[in-house]
Amino acid sequence: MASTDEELVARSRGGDLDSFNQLVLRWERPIYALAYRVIGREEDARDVAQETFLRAFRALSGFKGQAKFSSWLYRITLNLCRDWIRRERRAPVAQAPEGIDLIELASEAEPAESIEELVARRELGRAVARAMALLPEEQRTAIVLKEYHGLTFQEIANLLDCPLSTVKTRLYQGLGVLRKQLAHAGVESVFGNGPKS
Amino acid sequence: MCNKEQLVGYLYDELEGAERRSFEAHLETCAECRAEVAGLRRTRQHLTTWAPPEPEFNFHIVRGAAAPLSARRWFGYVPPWAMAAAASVLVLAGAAAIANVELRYGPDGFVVRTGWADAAPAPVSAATQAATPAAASAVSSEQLKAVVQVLETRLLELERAQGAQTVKASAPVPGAITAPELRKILAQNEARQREETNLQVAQIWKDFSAARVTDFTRLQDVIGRAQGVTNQQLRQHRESIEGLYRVSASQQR
Repeated sequence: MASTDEELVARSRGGDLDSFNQLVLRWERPIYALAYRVIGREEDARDVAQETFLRAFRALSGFKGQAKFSSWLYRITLNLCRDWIRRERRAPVAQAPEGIDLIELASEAEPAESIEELVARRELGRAVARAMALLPEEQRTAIVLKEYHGLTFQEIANLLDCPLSTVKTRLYQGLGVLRKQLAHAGVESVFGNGPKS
Repeated sequence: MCNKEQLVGYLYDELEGAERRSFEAHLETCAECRAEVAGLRRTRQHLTTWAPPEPEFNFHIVRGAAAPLSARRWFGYVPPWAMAAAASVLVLAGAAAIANVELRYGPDGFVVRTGWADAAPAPVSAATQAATPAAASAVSSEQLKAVVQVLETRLLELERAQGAQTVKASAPVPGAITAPELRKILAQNEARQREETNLQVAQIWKDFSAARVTDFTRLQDVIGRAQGVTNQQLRQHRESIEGLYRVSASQQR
């Protein structure tokens, strides 16, 4: 049976390096995904993820288990992302779309789905990335934590050091902007059945 | 009055019993909130299509922040040309140790000196002192032949003189090589050796450079191919995730 985060943290604090590396292995993808979605650049997100684990390792003796290990990692990551955004003095980047290889797509398409639908879905992912990049950092972070990491309102509030109502407001406003941006990009007309807003 | 906080709580299924029932009752009567909930649900569904890349991670903490690579792994990174060059340097160093040759690398490139000049410093003329190793190595084959000729002649004369010495030991040996002459011959011989060594070093350097260029070209090629494969894998990963999302989305519907 796999050890819990808390068990691994306890062993790591006792000097067991393998236990900490198990934690790294367990959390490297979520942490990278969080950094990527907040700052929007692959290489920099990788650096942020790596730096997150380095900092966590160095500060492990100060981690008393007052929060979940994952929340603690998220907090370190978000601080690093914030530093990155300040340092770069720019908004996240929606990375340039790659070329579409129709033959390659066709080989992976399910029988029930046409190539056109598959291509459109890829385009939708890019449209979402572009729309997310337009959001203010606070709204984007709240949406990323809620949508992609499944945190509760309260967990987000704790992580961002803000009231619960602020989290809800950021989510509501952020989703509203995304909805309009996606509609503007023609996404609703392709995928949605409801009216455009 | 529509409560947007409740709307978000309802959207994310974070309303408690009574509050939830209350908002559901509100939805029955408020078309605007119904449309908004439906629209935002679709937006949330669209968000699932955005997947980050899936790079290979090799994060792991090792004891000692700047832990060096193990010897075996480090050696694995050394390209063949560097190994050949290292072997050449070792051979040269060994030969240098045996022949008391000094190898140096300076602003003028490789400098090779035999230890003879140090072991027996000769009183050299100003012209000789000013001569650089390159000038010294520029001894023509004619000069070398002449030196050999002189040596042979001197050897014959020495043999004749030895015969005469048995008769009259105290008499001066006619045609004997004087110390300055001997030093001159030795200096010429040294220059010839220096020239040969320089040629060998130049050849090794040339081979080394050619191997390095070939290796770099090969490396670039490999990196280019690896990049192509990686991009393709990333694309495949992304598409498979999109497929999963698609299946998930269709199940939700």
